[in-house]
Amino acid sequence: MKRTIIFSLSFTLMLFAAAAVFSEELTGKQIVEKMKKVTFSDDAILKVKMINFDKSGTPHEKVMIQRLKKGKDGLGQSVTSFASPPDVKGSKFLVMEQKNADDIQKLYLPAQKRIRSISSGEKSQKFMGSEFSYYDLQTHDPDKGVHTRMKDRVIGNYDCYAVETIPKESANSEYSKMVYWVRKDNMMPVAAKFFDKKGALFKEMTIWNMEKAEDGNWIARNDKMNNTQTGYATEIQILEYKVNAGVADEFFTDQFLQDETRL
Amino acid sequence: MVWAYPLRAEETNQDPLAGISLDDLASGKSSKVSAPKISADFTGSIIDRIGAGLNYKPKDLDVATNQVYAFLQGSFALHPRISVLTSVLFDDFLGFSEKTRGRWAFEVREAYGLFRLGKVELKAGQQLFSWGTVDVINPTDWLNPRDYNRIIDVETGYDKLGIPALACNVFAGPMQLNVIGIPFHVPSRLDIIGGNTSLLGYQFPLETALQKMRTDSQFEVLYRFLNNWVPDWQKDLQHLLDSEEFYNGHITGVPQNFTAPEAATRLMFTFGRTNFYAAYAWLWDDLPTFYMNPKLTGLLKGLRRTEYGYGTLPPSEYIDVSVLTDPFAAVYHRSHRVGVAFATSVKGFGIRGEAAFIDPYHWYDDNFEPVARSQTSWAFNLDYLFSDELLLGVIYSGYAISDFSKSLLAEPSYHTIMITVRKPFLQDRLELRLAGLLDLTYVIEGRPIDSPADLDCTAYGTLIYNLTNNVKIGGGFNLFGGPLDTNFGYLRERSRIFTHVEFGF
Repeated sequence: MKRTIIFSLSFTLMLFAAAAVFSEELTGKQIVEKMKKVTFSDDAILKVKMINFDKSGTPHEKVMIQRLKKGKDGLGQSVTSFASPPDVKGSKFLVMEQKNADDIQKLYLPAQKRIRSISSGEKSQKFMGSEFSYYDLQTHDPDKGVHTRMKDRVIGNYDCYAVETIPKESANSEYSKMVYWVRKDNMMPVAAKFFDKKGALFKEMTIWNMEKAEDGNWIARNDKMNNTQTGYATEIQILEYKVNAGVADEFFTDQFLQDETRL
Repeated sequence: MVWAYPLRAEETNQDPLAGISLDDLASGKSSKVSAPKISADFTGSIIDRIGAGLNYKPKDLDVATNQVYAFLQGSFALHPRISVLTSVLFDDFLGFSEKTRGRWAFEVREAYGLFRLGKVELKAGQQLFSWGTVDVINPTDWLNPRDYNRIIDVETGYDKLGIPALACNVFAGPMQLNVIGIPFHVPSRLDIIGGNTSLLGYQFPLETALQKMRTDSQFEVLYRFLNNWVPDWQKDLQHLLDSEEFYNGHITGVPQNFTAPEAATRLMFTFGRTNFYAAYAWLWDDLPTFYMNPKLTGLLKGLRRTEYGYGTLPPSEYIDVSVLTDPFAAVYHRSHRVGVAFATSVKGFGIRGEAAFIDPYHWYDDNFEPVARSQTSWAFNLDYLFSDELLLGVIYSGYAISDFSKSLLAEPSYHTIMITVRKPFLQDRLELRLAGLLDLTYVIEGRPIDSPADLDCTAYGTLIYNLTNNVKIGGGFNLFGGPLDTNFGYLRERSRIFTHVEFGF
């Protein structure tokens, strides 16, 4: 791994959603609030594949193990261990949420045999060369945007809400506008469009292959982001997952980061 | 409009983690498994670099070179609390010039057992350590010796050599303690002659030394005497001085009988977003100290004071010419080292620094006699990652000698500034790396800089493309500049460009 990695705990949280279903008329802000309200059990472990597509559609994959757990203080922590390709294999990335402060992020590179703290940097930076930016992977405070409900729409076989969000200045967003389509039955987003500062279409996201996990929460197994301006795309697949897996605390430590004998 | 994108068949078939249970990965122990599982994981790479020299001097330097690094690592989980890791490296070098030279090495880089006892772990065996916080330049990264032939490919990390050690690491919340015992000293590899970064080049520069002797009145008498009494001395001496065995036979190594162990300890404390480190080590020197034969020193001094004066050749019985075949001895010394370091990030800036104090550290005076002093060295690093993923870093480093005197063949202090650039393209498949280091020492002391050629500096760059997940191709350059009597200037004729092909698995 040759570059700084910026990753948020919320990356996988966004693919989980509570199983609650609401039928009353909702405002744009209420829809966004319910969409952003994600939950999962005390811990989870996932095998994730991230596929970057170049302009010709040629895929380049990264496979990783991600462990998630809520700390005693309710703050989340995650550790990602990279299994492939060879140049990132053995690298590990630890993220620990902080109260009222930026996440603490640490990266271990086997070639350097050193743990490096990662500075937060710009939120528009790409996660591992993908089309997901740090901003995309964060949970966003609904109060930092103006949300307007638009005309409902059917996407595939699903009846969906449509919401347009204009980020406020305080959101420090890379976008001038976002549009989400959210399934009415499970409040999971199925699609989104993102517009750059000049108002031009920048990226399109689709989410599919949703299922209910053992604990009753919904999980989306596939998520794809297309950069309409460059032609590049990134798809994230959850190959396998287990909630309430009993993830041990030892994985969220420097000791585990430096242990090259364990993935 | 259809929004879903179906998966391609080939994408779903590639899972390097197939067969690995999530239950085992979650628990960290095989608590749900009745019998211990033994698992193995392998990784490796083969790198080939073909280099072409930018300065052609067939007698002293290679026109073209080929360097191969083949690396293999295996890690084995024998028990929930016990793992083993082994890695080996094969290094093969070929240099093409008027005569082809080659060198190869096979080494075990790491071979250790790891025993986890809760928050305490023991690692026993051949190991690599990385102390320090700053990129590239680490004054506190003392423990492992180096193969200085590989410094030119420093970004591979293969310059560092593994050492046998017993390490005890304690992880206690915001604190970590490392205690390391090293029973046998492993010396660094630095070729006096014949290596890429050897002090004296491909072969001993006798001609250069003789030219100096002819023009220096101090040595003129000796030169005339030798030509008169030992007419073949140049040929014989060249033959002797070009021999690696000659140098190796004059080095007094470290005793390897448990009477000369090394030890080190480091404490890390995390406060907020900042890590602080304090370290101490008792280690043998990285390189030996050279002691000139006192008879040779006396010979040179005697010629200056001879009663016969300049221009008169002394009788042969006053000169012990045999001293020329035994000019020096090289001895390793042991030193105490204390180091501190920190690493933090503020508003997107990475800020790191470290400093080390070594006592004693040996320098040479103008009689070429070693002098023991202490030395303080430091490095500070500031970097920032821009929105377009450009990582820009600045490193300031240097050292200072205590009790400096003008008779020392060194500067009282040394300062460098380094700029590093890293920029990925094409979704991380193409990466550009650049680094340039400028020696500020001579600038600070007011040495005249009439042209860029007077700047003591070095630059390095690579552009590497991921052809596939397993294959990378690219190229790069190493440039050295400055006067011959400066740190990088003496390497300036080794500037090169190279190709890079890498297969990883």
